[in-house]
Amino acid sequence: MRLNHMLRYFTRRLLLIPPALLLVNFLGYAYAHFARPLRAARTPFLPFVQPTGPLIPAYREYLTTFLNPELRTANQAGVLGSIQEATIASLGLIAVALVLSVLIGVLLGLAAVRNEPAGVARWLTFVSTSGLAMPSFYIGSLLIASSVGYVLWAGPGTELPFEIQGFGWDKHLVFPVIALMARPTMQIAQLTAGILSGELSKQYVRAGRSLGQTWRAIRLKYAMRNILAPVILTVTASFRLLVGELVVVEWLFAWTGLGRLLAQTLVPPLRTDSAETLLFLDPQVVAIILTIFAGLFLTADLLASFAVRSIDPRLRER
Amino acid sequence: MKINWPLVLGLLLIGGVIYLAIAGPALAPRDPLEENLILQDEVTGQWHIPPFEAFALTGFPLGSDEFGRDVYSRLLYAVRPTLQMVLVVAAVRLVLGTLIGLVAGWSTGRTGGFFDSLISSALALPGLLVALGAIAIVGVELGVTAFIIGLSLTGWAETARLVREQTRSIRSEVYVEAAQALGATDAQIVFRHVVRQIRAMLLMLLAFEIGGTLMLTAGLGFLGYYIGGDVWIDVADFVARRTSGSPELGQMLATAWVRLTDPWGLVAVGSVVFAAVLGFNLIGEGLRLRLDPESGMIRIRWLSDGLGRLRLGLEQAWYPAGRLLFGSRLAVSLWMIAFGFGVGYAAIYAWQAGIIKLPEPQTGMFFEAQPTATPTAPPAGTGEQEDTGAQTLPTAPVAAEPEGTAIAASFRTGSYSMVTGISLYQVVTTIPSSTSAEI
Repeated sequence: MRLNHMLRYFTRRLLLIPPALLLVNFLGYAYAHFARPLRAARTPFLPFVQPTGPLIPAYREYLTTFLNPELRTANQAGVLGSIQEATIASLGLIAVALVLSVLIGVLLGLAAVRNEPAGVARWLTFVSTSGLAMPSFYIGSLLIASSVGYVLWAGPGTELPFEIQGFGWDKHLVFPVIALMARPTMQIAQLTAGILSGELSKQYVRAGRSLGQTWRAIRLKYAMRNILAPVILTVTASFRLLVGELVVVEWLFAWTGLGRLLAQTLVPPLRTDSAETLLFLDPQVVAIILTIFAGLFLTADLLASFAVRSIDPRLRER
Repeated sequence: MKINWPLVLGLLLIGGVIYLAIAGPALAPRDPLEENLILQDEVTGQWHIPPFEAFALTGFPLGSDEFGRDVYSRLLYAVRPTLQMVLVVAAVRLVLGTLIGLVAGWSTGRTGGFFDSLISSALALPGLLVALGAIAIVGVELGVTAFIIGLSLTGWAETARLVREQTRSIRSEVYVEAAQALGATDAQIVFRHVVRQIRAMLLMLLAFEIGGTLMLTAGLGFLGYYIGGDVWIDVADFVARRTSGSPELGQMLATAWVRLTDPWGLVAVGSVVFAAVLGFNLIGEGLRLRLDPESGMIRIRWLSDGLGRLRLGLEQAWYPAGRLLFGSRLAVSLWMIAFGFGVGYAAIYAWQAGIIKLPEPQTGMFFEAQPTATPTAPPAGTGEQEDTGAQTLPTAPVAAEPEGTAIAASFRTGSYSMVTGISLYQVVTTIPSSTSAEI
């Protein structure tokens, strides 16, 4: 019975994803389709752009050509190729940053909780408040400044310890990951500590202590199981924060991912003769990137719902 | 007694930021719009062209942007407009969030469900992406309005969620039931009971809203969307360049990092943003602790009692006008704000009148300041410039000065014309290529 209920719930959620993505794709396309002429009058390089026709035929044509590889133009094929590469670059960055922020955040949160009386250590309040107040570009700029400072201090010929610009699955990854994971880590640590501290002040913990259980056993056997579901939901919220920060971090470190591509489509380039002018408010690119972001959010939400319902039997009937 | 350290530290930090916002322009050693195409360091005698590196040129501690505008002076000017804009946006977000939260918390059935879904949807969207999209379509030419629209589209959601939870908890109280039994309408109960109960929480939420808004504004500025942005100047035939005018923290984040090896300007501007966000977040955290009865935080009694006695004394001394002027918390808050501004401005006037001495601004490195009889010769190895470039060096900036002033003035009004504007790049290119490093 319960299995049927769960199955029905997830089938419903899964079936909702394709129409939701199609809607986001259409909204993204429509947004750029209307935004481009609006911005044209005020941006020097846009008046040369051909005026766009009505929305629905344009969108239908875009869908037809994009979904059918034989009808794709060379330009569309190039755009798709770039977006594929950018997606891989961004997903890798997000995955590493998310795994590290969950690990460090949960460990910090657990370390900051006092057993008796239950409460959160003051140091975490200051660490997390400071961490959450640090914009990712500021953390990034501090990292870059420290690298530059090190090179200046070490003298000519010194190599940078970690690359400060560009894409690569090597030393290039270090600074973007640190800048990206800082705020989600603090968020996870703060909420984990808060939830665990609330859990440890409950009656069953006192009962467990009076029966001779150690704090370690109580934490691992009972409290952790009870807080796992809210921690997973917190991680989902942190994932959204992380994706939001992606735009700024990729921009700062010139990481050729989806965030940078989205920023290039929404922010006018510095010079009108730059190649990026072609991307500014391009309906096809905006629509695809927003669809990928929406897909990421919906998948993360679905996975979190599945995990939470598997862990906590009280939530299965909801 | 536990001291509320987050509140104390937050107030100290924000006090510093507010001081910068008030006194910053008076403390700035240079005009933030003054462009310098080439400068000679009066100490080392070396010539520099923009962007000046940090710590490399006397009088430019944080270096300059690519137009030779002093980053330090621009930073001192930038805090005020950013803070003003952020306060307005945060207030709009707070009002929207409170109204939607009250309706969502009080309503049941379909209306309640609709507002619940609205809040959940708004919470699910990353604020930066929404703001980026909204401002891209509205355009920064609208000024603060563009940021109000962009940052308030979904920015109210967190406040609405918290207000909704509080409203729901108050709704189940016995006194609300009693008020309903006595015939009070929903609106009466919400405004007389619910709003009064959550009033203290709103101050805490405002502090967090300001911090959050500042963070988003900085992110937008870093990407290139800032107040008064999108000024285009010609740099060649059919080629224009986007640049910035009046200083603002977001704009400075976008333009402070010109050279890869010189990120100090970005760090300095980022530090001011960090200090401000941290200050507001600490105030919010401190207020949260104060509202929490289990936190053990208590007021500094001698201070609050003393202020209370002073207020009562003033109210009684000038009764009935005193009741109007000092009889409510709102009036007292307004007096305190006025007092803060008064102290700030008094300090500025005292400095301008010479009562308070501050280090003199570094000046005297401009071309017009060079003695005409003995012009400073360029260093050895640039002999050719004396015939061609050297003639241009003392004259070009003098000729360019009105143009630079015109550009600066048009930056202020945001009316720089692509047609009439003479590019700074064109002027720079008249200098021989050997001057691209330090001459």
